[in-house]
Amino acid sequence: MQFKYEYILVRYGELTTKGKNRKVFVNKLSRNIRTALKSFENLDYKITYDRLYIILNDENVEEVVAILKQIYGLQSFSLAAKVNTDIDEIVETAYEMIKDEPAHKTFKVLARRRYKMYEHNSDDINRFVATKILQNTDLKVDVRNYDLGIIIEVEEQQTYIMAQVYEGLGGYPTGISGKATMLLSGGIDSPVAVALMQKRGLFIEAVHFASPPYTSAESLSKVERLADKLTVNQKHFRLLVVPFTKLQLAIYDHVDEPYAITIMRRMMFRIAEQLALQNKSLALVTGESLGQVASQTVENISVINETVSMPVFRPLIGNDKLEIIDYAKKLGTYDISIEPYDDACTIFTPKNPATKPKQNLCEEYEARFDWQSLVDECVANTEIKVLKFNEQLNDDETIF
Amino acid sequence: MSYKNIMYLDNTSTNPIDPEILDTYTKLLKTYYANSGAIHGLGREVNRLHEKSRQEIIKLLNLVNYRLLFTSGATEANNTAIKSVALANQDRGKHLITTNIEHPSVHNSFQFLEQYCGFEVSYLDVDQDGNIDLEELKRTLRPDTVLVSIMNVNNEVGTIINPSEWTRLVKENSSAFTHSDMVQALGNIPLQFEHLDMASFSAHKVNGVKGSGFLIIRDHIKLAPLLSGGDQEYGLRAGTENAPANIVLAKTVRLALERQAQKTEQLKQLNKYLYEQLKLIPEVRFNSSETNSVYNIVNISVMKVGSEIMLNALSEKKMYVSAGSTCQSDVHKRSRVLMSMQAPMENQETRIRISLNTDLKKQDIDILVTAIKEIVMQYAI
Repeated sequence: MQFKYEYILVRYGELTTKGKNRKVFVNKLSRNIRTALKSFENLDYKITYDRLYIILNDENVEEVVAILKQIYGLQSFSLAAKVNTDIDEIVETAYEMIKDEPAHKTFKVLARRRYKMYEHNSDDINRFVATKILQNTDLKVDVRNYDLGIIIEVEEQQTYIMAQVYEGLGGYPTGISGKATMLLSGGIDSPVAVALMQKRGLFIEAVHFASPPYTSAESLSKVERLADKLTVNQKHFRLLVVPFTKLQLAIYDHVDEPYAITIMRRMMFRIAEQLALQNKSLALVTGESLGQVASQTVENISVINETVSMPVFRPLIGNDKLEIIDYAKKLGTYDISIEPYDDACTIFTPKNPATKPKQNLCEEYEARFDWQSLVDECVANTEIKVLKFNEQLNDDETIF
Repeated sequence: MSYKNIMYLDNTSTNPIDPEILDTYTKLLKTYYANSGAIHGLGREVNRLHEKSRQEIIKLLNLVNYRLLFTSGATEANNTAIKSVALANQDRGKHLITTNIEHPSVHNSFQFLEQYCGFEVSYLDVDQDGNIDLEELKRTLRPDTVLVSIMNVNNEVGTIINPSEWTRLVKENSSAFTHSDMVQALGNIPLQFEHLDMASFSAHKVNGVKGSGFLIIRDHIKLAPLLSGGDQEYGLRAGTENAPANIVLAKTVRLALERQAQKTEQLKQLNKYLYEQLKLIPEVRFNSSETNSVYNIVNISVMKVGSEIMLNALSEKKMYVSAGSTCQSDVHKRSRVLMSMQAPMENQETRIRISLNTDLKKQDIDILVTAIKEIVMQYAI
């Protein structure tokens, strides 16, 4: 038997400490929430100074909760019932809310009077509610370590009763910090890097390097599906697909094998920076983590980084592979990432990649061919795909 | 020949395609025409939809640990269930059990195995209401019985044979596989798969596309492919898949299940009324069981008016019924089903099968009954 909740109370996250930027943050968070919950047409919203109230109007509470759990910028949220500020209604509703909980659980009543003129004080309210519950169920009180905290917020016109607090993800609402461009491969790391930056408020747009026919339509679809998992916090997610084959082949024709990957990454950075500038992005983001593969040694990172002047964020630089995998599983991207479709990064792997490349050698190799026009060509021919949360890429809805 | 102002009463035989299904099917034919086995982008997309349809149907039927084989209809599904399984598992035995009231695609598959593959088949008879005797089934089971196939709803008289009981009995008393022809059950009665290894379904019986059906098969059952060739459909059914038909099957099954409750309620009322009115005609005998039949099938015999004469006379009045199984098209032959039910000879010769549908109103029943009365008066010998 499920108690029928009518409201969800959303508590704001880090942004409550932001002073005069508060309004901007609150607006962004509520807009992100509304966008993510767009498909629930009957929801209504009420924004106050420190809360966002979502009025369910009979929409499926579990489905809404599942989405709220993925939104950045929320500290926590609770399912709530709203009653008149009347002690009998309060007691009765609080009781209804938890009466079916398993008997081994403990509870504590936490009444707060935001309306100080209410006739009963918090202690009284706590006592009335606790008494009703103790007399009618087998639940026990534990004021120190309780399973169920029954929060009662008394306001002048209404009282909200909540029995469960869901932890939010915290962080900043995505988009509040500006836009950044992610170099998205199909690997395990890059989607995690995207999520971490979104959580710091960056709106992410992704660049993906495709080398058909060496890379298949399947590998592109894999990237699209990964991007799909990262759209809940953004109104849309732009995927910029760069046709990389010609440039990649030129690199292999002119550069000695050990440096091929390094030079390839230098070109990718150049292309990504161009696309970022074109699209008014403020920084690049990669999923690089120190020392994992040959191109991710400090020397390599430094030599690759030299090609761009934009800041490059590497949120995973200090993480272990296992930590990254864990995060990817929570995001739901891990299973997609391990699908065996090659992308540009894995397709041409040299036998002995240089782990400590020299800057001057890179420049020598690059001088052998006109890479600039090939880079320009890549930028010019980049295709843009726009993904939106919950809007499937095709007409499955009408077919099934 | 106009299709307007007619009374179509032969839904057990086939149904008009649902407009929404036709819409989707047409769109699929136009847009998703690539071969689902092709590696290029178009083929991949068709394949994705094809596999999605397969998974959707499995979900709709709440099946766990089953495969779904798309076929060209229930006849192929039945042939596969019977021949493919018997042949692939003959090292376990060569005895098979079925009933005498099965659809020709089941009955004749068993006969084929007897005639050409050295199998021994026991055919169970039914009682006058069309029910099987569970004790008789138990006695017929042997250590070398490999397959038992008993239909869920009989297509001629509408009898419902509950699969839970007989399949449990088979599993408890033998190591045979179980199969049920559920063609007339889908969309009419709740489906039960508990001890059932395989079941056959047809799209056009539920307002879907003709030439389309499927067989559900429990995992780990060995089958010998009927059609050899490419490795489509788990290597069990060669040939380019009929992707548009298979893709729209998911919608077809979904609609059939969604409409079931309301359809059953409507047909229950119509059925009750039809029985009441028919009982007022002294020449009418009932072949269907009033209490243990699906509401949409009413098989009667009108004394002294031969089947073909009744069919033609009704057809002239733009009412279309049949004389039992359309797959046994020779109306002059006796109905194997009625024979097994030990129906009297006069019933055999005068049998007609009325199928009810949700387009019919009470007045239509009145018109039908009046027509039957008139035909009796005019043509009874």
